[in-house]
Amino acid sequence: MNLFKRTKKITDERIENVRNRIYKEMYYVILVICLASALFKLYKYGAGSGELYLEFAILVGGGLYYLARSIFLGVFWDEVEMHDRNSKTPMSKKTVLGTVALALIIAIFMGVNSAVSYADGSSQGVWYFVLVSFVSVMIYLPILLLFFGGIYLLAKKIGMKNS
Amino acid sequence: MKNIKLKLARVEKDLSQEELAKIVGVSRQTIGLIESGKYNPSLSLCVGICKALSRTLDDLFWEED
Repeated sequence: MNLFKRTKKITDERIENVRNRIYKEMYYVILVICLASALFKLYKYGAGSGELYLEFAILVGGGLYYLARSIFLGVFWDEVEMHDRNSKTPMSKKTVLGTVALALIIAIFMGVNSAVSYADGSSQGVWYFVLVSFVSVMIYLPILLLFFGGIYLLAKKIGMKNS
Repeated sequence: MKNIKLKLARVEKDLSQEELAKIVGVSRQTIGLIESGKYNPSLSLCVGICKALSRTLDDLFWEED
């Protein structure tokens, strides 16, 4: 009964490499289909309908999986070191600046949204914009800094441990 | 760039691409692509090929300028 006997699978590194390249391309295809589906649903049902959860989960879930795997395998930190070797601005500074910029964009978006939606006059609109933007920065900046800074420091710790 | 040295060493050893591929544990096409210079093998595959052909890495894979 050799039918169930486990045979050693022969692996060819070239085939493996090509297969990995195809998987990579396949992931791009899935992302494009997902984005197309999300845009179609956005057009057909509108933004607030809650129809986009699956597309959101696929896009964000895939991204988070890649991020977690690259951090724990040390590749993330390797890339940071390679970047810092060639770039004048270190990745740590770019992370902080990018986080501040993201927090400001969110705050401005929130401020404009509340000024447009809830204010009665232009002076009240400006006041709402300033108030909501300020509060948004106070809320989002520490959270985003903790999140992105945490990712950076965790990647650094694991990268240093691996090397 | 074609790897003539590998092809010569294989022929001297009286092995076909298929036979060498079987010894090393890869497909015939991979050996063909290495010989024609269209695939860069990993170091472990280079060592496997060298052992199968009783040559050194220098003999088969070092390019003289």
